[in-house]
Amino acid sequence: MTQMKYLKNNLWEIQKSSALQFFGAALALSHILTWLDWFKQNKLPLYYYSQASPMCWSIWESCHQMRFLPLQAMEFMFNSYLAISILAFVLFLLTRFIGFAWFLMILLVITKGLLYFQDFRLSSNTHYFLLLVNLAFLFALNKQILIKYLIVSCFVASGLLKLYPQWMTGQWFEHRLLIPVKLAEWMAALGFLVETIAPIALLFKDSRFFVLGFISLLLYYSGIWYVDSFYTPTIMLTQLSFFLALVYEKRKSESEFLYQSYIRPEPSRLWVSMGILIFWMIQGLGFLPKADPQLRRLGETLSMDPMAAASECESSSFALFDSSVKEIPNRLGDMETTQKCSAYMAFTNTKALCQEFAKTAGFRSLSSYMYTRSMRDSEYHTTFEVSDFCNSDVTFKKLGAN
Amino acid sequence: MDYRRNHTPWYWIALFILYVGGIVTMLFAIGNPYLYSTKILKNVLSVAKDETPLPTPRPDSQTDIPSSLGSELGSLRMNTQRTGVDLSAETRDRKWSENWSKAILTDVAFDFEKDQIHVDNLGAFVARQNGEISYINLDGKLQWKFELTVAQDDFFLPPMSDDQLLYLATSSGRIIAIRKDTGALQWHNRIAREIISAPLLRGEDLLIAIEPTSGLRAKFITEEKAKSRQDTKRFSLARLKRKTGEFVTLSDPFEAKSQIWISFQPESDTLVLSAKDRLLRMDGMKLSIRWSQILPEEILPPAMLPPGNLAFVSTLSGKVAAINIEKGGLQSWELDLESPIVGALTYIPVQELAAVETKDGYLHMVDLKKGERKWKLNLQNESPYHQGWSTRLNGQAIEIAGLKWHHKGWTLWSPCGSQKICVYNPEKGELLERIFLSGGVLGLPFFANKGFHILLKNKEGLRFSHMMESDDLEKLKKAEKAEKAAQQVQGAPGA
Repeated sequence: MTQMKYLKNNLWEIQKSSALQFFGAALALSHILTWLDWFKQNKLPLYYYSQASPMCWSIWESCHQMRFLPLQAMEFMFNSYLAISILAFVLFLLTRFIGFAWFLMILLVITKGLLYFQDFRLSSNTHYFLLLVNLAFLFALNKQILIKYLIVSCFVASGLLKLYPQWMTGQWFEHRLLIPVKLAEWMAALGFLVETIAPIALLFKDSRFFVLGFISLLLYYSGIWYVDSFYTPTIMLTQLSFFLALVYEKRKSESEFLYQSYIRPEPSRLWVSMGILIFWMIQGLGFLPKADPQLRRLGETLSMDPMAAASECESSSFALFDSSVKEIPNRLGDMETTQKCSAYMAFTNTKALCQEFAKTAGFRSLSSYMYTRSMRDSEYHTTFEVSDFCNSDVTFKKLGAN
Repeated sequence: MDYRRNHTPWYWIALFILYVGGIVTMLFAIGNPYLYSTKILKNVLSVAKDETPLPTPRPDSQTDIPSSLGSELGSLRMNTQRTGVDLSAETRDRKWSENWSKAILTDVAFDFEKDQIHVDNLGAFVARQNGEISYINLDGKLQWKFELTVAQDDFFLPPMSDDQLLYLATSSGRIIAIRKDTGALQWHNRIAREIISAPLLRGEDLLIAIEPTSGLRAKFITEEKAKSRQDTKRFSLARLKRKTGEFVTLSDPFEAKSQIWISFQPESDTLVLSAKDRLLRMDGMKLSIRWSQILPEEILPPAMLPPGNLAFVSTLSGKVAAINIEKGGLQSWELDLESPIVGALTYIPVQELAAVETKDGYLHMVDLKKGERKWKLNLQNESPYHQGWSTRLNGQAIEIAGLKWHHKGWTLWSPCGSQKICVYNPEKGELLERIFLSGGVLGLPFFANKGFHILLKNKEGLRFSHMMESDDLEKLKKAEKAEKAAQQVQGAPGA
């Protein structure tokens, strides 16, 4: 009975709020954009799935065991993901089918989860952010306020993660816009200020603060849209649109407050407090310097990815056969520095190579070397130097790589 | 009522101001200490990094190898002086026969322009443009392969080896050392943007001409020395520890438009770098440039650096010139051979002569003291290789050939005819012996184990041959025959 009540309350919240219905459509749209982004990159989840071995998440190093579905099934899932997204989008706009749309959203989260969690290379802060707001939208009570604070928290957390020399020197802007170094640096500083301050302004009831914060974020993400690829800024803008929907709903409810239903009591504020507290605690876990490595890895997995600790890295791998040696081109070479210079990414990539080569006649092992340095280091540090990488004794924990 | 609801209380605004203050403080104090000054920021972004290239794996993690790696083996033109002189203490007979000859690399199309073959005491090392390096042992069998990832327009410079390691450099700036016995990587180093010379081994060092990376240049070359026209590439000679691949130092910069050849005279510790249009001398230890000269006409590197003060070069137009290395590259004499030169100079010790082949098929013997031609003869060389070498004959051969004893048996060996090596008396050009081969000569021989190994080419492709002194070969065949007969007797019924 309690479960049914929870479910009814959950759906009732969406049904009574035009802002949440609009946000449901925005979330469905973000799934469509996700599909489009993956499709543009050679159907990325399918591309990774078709490779001999996956790159596993650090908390699940034996993820290859879960590869029991044939590629065709994954392809069907990938295509279904788009179809369900479109259907959910339409149904949220047609307000009579909210219950069915809500069910489709659950299906979407599961489908995306299966596609997304199968390979670590798909991970990004944007997907992380989307997953959180999807879960809050589907399962939390007092959704409106929780989602509002969650979006603000994600914006602020994303901004705080940029408080790092690699971002602050403006290299990200300089490389993309080919502008003077000083201008790029100030653009980075401005980006940091907008991402950390403007979202807070969205929480103010004073419309002057709200408008200023909203316009700042709108301009900032429109600018990023121009500088970077379409995906992340578009997602951020769809999330931002929730605040407009809230303002619209508030004005509407103010004019129609007499007709509001008081049958159901307001859900507890505890959902909001607990949700936001857990979010910030998880973000903090990733930064614990001397905590238990396993706890730290868990924290790193559950929190948003910081900018790369290493701003430069060198790596090389060689496959060792009975009577030959073959240099392996760096598959991570084209990735962003965050991923390319991640010790764990390099580790899983090399372990995946071990599995790929295992079937080749005469294969013995891989030797792999990685060196990294941050913006403030003058010299490279050895991340790992392993001559027998495919030995089962070689685990990320034992390597002690940072 | 409405006004009250939309009005933000003062304490929230105060908190917000505090928060903004904290964010701005973090921006300046924690996130970006460089925000204050463009100069500091630029310094951080450009030269604050240590750009000294380091080997992979780092020295502490490299496989142990003997501390003494031995001297350079299978050098370009047989030694670092590039004289084409067989400097081993042994003397040779003049009659030679082929012990065995085996077809190698039959499954691949070999590009003689871009692929490299290096022959030393262990066999042949083949470095192909696609990044594949293979080792064929003295029995002609493939022992190992090493596949390096290379760009499409990348190519290997001529490899070099010592007792333990094979050193290779790619035009795109990589130097690698591979263990000769196992084919395992010892180290590799991305030292440069471009490499324009083969490695030269000197003592514990490896010298190589590179276009340094900007960071390396900034660290080792002062602005004054680096002054040059923007459109000209500047190269330097880099010194690395050949055992570990660690970078040691960089020479003064110099301009070059083509591949550089390094000649080294150990007695005077002199380095002479030669390119098609340029000759320059460096001090061996300091790597400082003593003089540099743009040549009036194109030469065929490398410069020959026999004992003494003179370096010798041959030009494409057919001239041989003597350059005084002690007098700033002043030309001592020049001799016109009337036909374009096609091979490198071969030095004949004691008699102070040098042989060279010209395009019209003639072999010319030049007196290096007088700058005059001593004799010439038509070689009719149909081999793809047009360079000879000099080797000492033993006492018996000197006597039979009627050579002068005070010339110490030095003779000139050169590819001749279609599949032959001809041995000449350098004094008069008299043919002493013809050595028959199973293919045209493709490179210099490597003398080892009472014989020499040589790369050949015939209609079927590449061959690796082992030549032995005829008497020794006859004895060997007889011994083998006797052994076989003994085995047959042992295996016969009733034995």
